[in-house]
Amino acid sequence: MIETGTDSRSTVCLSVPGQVIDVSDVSGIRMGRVDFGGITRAVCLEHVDAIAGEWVLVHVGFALKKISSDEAGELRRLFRELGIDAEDELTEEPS
Amino acid sequence: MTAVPLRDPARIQALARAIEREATQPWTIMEVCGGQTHAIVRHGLDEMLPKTIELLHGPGCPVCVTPIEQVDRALAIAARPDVIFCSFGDMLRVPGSRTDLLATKAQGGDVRVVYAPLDAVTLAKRFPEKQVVFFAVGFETTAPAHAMAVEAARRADLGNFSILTSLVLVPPAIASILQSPGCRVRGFLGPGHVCTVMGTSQYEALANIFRVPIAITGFEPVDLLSGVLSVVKMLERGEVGVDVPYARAVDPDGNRSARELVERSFEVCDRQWRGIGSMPKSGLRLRPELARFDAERKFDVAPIRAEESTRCMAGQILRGLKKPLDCPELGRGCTPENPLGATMVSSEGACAAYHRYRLTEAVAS
Repeated sequence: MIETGTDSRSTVCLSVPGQVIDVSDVSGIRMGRVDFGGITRAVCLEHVDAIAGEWVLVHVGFALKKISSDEAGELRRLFRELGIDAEDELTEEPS
Repeated sequence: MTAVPLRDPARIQALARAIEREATQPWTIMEVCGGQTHAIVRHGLDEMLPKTIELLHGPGCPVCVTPIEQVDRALAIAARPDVIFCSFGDMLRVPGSRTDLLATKAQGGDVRVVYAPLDAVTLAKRFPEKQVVFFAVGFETTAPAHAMAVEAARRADLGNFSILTSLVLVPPAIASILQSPGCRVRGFLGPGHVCTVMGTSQYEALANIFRVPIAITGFEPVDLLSGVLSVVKMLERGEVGVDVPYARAVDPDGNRSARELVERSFEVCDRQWRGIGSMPKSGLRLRPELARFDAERKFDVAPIRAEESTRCMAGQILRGLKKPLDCPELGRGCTPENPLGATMVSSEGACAAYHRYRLTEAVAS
């Protein structure tokens, strides 16, 4: 019943859980590096109170919600099973 | 917290059996979000339900409902030699009246796929001699990220960054569907990530005004079937209201800080929805004080007359009046490679989901 694939990315709907590595000020905006199962991306943390080590639900580079680590692990595992994990969601860099 | 097996077959089957036990009469339920549609069709969840429970697919695919006029404006702006046009990848093959962004890129337009709206602001800083335009599509989930990009450009006093806005709001669409003649929808699966931002109060209001049950759900089989079960239970008991099976991602108050950012940046406006038409107060546009970041004002592309394919029934599908298998063009005159309408282009579109997961069945019949 359940299959995996690589083309299920839906950037304007999905939100992806990740773990905050660090927090910094970038041009006056609270940003952070967030780890998505081995892939690291810059994420805007301005509207969540997450600190390093905590987990956030991220949508198009913007953290929507701080979530518990167990919740994130649960979601991350499921996203990986779906084939719509960090690799699909996060590899598009501005060229 | 104990991990919840959201895709555990035994749990999924148990939910399906519970729904069958609860349902004593036919009910039609609409899932609002395109991501939910994709998951339902992909996992065959609709086929696990008793035949009396019908799932209709709603208008919650932002790529699908971006109006053709706005796609044509994007194409006109992207073709300009002084512009770097940035977009989510989903938008590149959405057909305008005559072409799409991918073709514009092939013809020399500087069209770039970015992951985050803030990436486009970075490009604007890197290329001060260019005008960088971001195609800001999405629902309430995506609005904060767009607002943040404009806020970053404002703080950096960038004169070469703007957004082409096509932001839409879910509650007016639900209200419109419930008010439309021939509406068969009796309950809704509400959009989880929209409510992560917005909270649940708007859906409480909808439930009370229209006397319908709404379950705010996520995107996994157990989430979705939990939502169906919740709605069926409420329907059978004659109850209205909002249930939140997706509580792990949705607080009743949403993300107040992100919402305030959106309110500072955008104002509510009437908005055209592709396939559906204009709906009052169903969209967001930049506030007048941020007009310098509005691509529609910056570039003279406003009066565009667009033409939809007359063979495409996306409008009826988006309103829950038809399903993709009702369309004679599915897989024949309309494919992901050569789409007639946007419900086939986006991975969240109902037609794309049916084409990928149900086409064999359609051809066989």
